[in-house]
Amino acid sequence: MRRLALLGLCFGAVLFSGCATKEVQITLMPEEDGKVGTISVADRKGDTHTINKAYEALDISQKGEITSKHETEESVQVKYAEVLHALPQKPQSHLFFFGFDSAVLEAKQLDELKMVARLIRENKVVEVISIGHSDSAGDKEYNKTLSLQRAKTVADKLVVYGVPKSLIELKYYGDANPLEPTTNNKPNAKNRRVEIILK
Amino acid sequence: MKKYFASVGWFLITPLVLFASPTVALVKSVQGDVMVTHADKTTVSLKQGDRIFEKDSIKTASNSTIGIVFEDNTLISIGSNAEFLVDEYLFEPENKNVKFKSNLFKGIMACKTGLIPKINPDAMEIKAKTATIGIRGTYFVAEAKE
Repeated sequence: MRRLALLGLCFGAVLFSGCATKEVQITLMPEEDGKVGTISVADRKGDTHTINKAYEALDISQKGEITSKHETEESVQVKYAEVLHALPQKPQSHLFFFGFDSAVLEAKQLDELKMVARLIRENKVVEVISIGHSDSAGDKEYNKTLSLQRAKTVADKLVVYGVPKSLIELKYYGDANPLEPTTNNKPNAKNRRVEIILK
Repeated sequence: MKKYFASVGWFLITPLVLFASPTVALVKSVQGDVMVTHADKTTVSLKQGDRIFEKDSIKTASNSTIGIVFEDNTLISIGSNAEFLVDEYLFEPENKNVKFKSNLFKGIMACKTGLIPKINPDAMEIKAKTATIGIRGTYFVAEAKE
């Protein structure tokens, strides 16, 4: 009987210390499309523990001991509600295409830009980056200037549609970042564009 | 040679951003009290639209959270009573020069990774207490218990 009590005490102590030394937990979540990434942690012996399934988790003790376990969608949603709720949305990007050697937007594109300006206001966007590009036809220096002009056209219109100037940043790449890589000196409609990124 | 030709001063927020250490992230949302201590030891409270720099240490009070968007589109939220350090951050996709090392001293964080682990699967690491966690993406929650 006494021996049994002693055994119980030991068992309790092991359980207790097991809990107390669980210092870090990392839990993998599925993305919206169901894809799951990979996370690995090396233990103190240098062995790597890897998780790559949804709601798989690793507990890492103070001593560097690692145990894997499974959470569920429900347990994670409850336990981590605060941070899951506070996670920002991915920055959105919108493309506007231009005619050959042109930095002018068409009427239909201006309507689209008005919509984007509304999105910026409604979604509490904190930064807007207007990035100008050109195709590879013509002089490289000229293309840089043209791509800047395109970025400015879009930014100026956004300001007209009520987006605060202070939110907008301009970038321009000339023909250095084509959407469709081409040989040099090729006109290409897909590369004559401005990308607006909303953060 | 760098493939892009600098952002333009025209519209830009503050010249400091251009000449001091580069900004690595933007504060997308703040609830409650969130403070940041910069590399020079100055401490200020954070609000929506503020910028985050390398070596910034972010501290949240109780019932307080922050949501941050990094240059490479990594999304991070930090929960109540937490402390998180942006130890090293480098994002130069043009020459595949990327690094993101952070430290979760205490509290809970959620993260959706951006371009950094796609460019280099060994570039992203989070330290939490004694553990060093290698992040190859993409969506996870880390908790450092006190």
